[in-house]
Amino acid sequence: MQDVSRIELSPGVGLTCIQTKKFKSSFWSLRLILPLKKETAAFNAVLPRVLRRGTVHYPTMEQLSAALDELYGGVIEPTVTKRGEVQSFGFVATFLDDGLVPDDLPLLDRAARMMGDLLLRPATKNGRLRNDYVVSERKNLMDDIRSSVNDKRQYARQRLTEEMCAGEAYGVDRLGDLSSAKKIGVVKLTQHYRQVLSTARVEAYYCGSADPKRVEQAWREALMELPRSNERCELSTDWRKTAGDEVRRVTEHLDVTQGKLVMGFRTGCTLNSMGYPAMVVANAIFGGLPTSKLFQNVRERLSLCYYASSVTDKHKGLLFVQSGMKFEDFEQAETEILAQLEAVREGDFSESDLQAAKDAVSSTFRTILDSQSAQEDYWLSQAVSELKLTPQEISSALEHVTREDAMRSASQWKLDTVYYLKGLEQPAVETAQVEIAEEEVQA
Amino acid sequence: MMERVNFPRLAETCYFERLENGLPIYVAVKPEFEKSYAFFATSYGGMDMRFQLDGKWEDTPAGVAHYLEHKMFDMPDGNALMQLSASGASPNAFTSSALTAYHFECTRHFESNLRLLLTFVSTPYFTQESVNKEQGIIGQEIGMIEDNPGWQLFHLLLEGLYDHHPLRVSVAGSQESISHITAETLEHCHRAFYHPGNMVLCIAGDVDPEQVSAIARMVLPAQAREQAAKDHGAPETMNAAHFHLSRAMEVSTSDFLLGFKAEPHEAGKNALRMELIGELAGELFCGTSSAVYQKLYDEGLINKTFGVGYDNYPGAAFLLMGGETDNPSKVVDLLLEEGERIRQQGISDEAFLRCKRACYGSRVRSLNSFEHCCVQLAKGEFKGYHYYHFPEVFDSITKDDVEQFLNRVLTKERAAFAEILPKTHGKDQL
Repeated sequence: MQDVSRIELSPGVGLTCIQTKKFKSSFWSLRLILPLKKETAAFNAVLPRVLRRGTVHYPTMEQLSAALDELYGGVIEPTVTKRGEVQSFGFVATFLDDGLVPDDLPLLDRAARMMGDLLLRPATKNGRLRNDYVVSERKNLMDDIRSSVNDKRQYARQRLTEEMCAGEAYGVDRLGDLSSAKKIGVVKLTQHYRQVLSTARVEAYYCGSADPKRVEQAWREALMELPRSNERCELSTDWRKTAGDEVRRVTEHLDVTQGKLVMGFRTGCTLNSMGYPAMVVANAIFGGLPTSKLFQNVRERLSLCYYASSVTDKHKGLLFVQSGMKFEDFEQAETEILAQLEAVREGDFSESDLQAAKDAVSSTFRTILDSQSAQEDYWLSQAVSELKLTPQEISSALEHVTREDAMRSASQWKLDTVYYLKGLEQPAVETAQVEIAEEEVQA
Repeated sequence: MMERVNFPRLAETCYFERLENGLPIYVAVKPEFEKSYAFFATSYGGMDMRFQLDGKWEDTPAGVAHYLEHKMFDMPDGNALMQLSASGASPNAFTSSALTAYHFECTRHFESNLRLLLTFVSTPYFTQESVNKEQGIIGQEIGMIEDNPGWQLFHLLLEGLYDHHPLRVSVAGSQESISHITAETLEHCHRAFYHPGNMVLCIAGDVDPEQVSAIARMVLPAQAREQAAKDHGAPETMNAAHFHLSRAMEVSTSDFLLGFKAEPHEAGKNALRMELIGELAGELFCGTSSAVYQKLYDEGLINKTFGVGYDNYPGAAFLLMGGETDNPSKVVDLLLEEGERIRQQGISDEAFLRCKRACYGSRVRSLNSFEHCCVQLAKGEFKGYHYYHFPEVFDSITKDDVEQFLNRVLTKERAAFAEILPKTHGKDQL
């Protein structure tokens, strides 16, 4: 059995605590939850990396690593995520569970203290974050932003998102962009750090064998110095935008051998909607699984694509179809993908297809309980959406979805934007790379 | 009857039985978990190209173990991968240099899924037509992995370290080598290596161990077969074949690996000891809490992608480290210099104890992963030890063991340096 408790440690500071003896480790996270904005995304993305370089206690990475090694090889990593139009940054950590520590010295308090120190007591110089750390982590962040072009599958999805949601915060990547990353400097970053520390919502998380009362106490002590102002950042995701009447089409050329086609739909349905379970099942029938229509027809039967699948964004109410194919097959693939969607809308699937889809997605939700990081991810989404549904509750809701529910859900998905990534046909230089090259010259 | 053993230091219970046909079965019982995991593996991989069958030596084309893995899912009544997926399981398979494994995870119908897994892996069903059809699919896969910079880098390193060991040969083979594979080749390989005495079944989950062994008895052949002898060629010297190998690819940052050749493992419990010593040595040399890691990171020469590890196969073992960097040669020079320093000065007691704790904790935490448990239990079985004894083996390792290892291994003669550099395009050089 595992017990989930959610409490408020102080105004705007939540703690989710799961007590279980299933795992060999304890899993921790500490995150600041902020609105996603073009101007601040890169600042938020670089902060946990800078903070992870050193604390007042352990000013260098070598000292921090040695201290973590002493705690049986504890791992604390910086993290940045995007949930709809909400960005979160902070640390995730895993330690040997106290039940398995050989010398009977519980790690609980020391782990909590290290997490708290990393966020609240960074290594500083002249009252500011250390300039050498800021400069080097800015470079690492910019390298990561640039390297997003390396994974073409991911890149195509990111470019579709930027185009489709150009006027919306959702168009901003979780790491921000190069032009705002370039503005990161020690003065501005220190200012930003102080400001978000006192205004952001904070979410702490623990999953392990310790008694929740002790966990709460450990987190309270670790976060004692967290400054809190009365002002709190507003969080919301603008999800009601419906697609325009005309589908937008964007084509780009890069030096690639395989073409990518990404299609973005507006579903108008989020985690907070009544129709959420139906959307999950409909997506599983359409393209979410290896037994789905997209994989079975577009890939297996017609051999049109090397891969073809669909995935939803439950916070923003979007659905993406991602596929890779030969350049000459774009048109046929797009037609076939839309035909498969039509088939879902018209209920052209068997009872056993429906049951297999429901079994698969409800099993996915139940197995969240088998992974500490999946549970953290799950409860973060719940917290951002201000919900308290357990994975078991969603799992049983999925089992009650009917054929008509799934058909109705798919009928509401409206195609908004289509993105094509093609090879270099003529010497025309693709816009994406030119922009990056210019940034590099200035940097 | 399955024998139950408790491992209190790991809070694990593991059942074991060796069936009359020679099949070892491990069941790691995981109470309260929703999912169950089954892993059925043969001690046969990409490097086992030359072997003895019915008293005759056979030479098979590179890539045949992987090809066989693809074709195993074909059954007279359809495709086993689709059948498992349709019953809600997530099935998959992989081929490495020394092992081929078939596995699935599921939350329902565990017993019927297990029956299907054991059935399809023990049923050779190859038609020449389906074997020919697979050429195109595997050919595409070979193209894709050859485009993968991480794969290229690792292979360059192996080519640098080894002169003729079959580890140098790609597990997937080449477009050319796989064109020689026929239904008969696959049938021979299956007969040589896919018999219970050369395989292992590992299960993790909240399952009934007696049911597992009953199903295995029912599905698999009752008779034991003789082990097929393998030939991996003459033993290698301890010197690397080439020091420096380099290739240009479509990447944004250069990436490198530096490897040091180590002594191949003996069979039995000592193999686990050697593996743990190698892992500890790597961490002490350039892990995240080492002086050289800090220096390289501070100077902006490495980033978070830098890592170190220790790898071993039959007849081969090596320490390897690397990651993204703008200046691979400089990082390699500094690492070689640090290697010399460590050989002269040794390591401190404090660092040794600290790294031992860290490696121990990380090994225990890894048992959260069902796949990790099963892979480790399977590898241990093929090498002659029970993996869950690692805490006691850790206890027995001294600083002297690790220093001796580092002293032997960290020399330039044993080192190979592989790098992938970005292709330089005209316009990027502006």
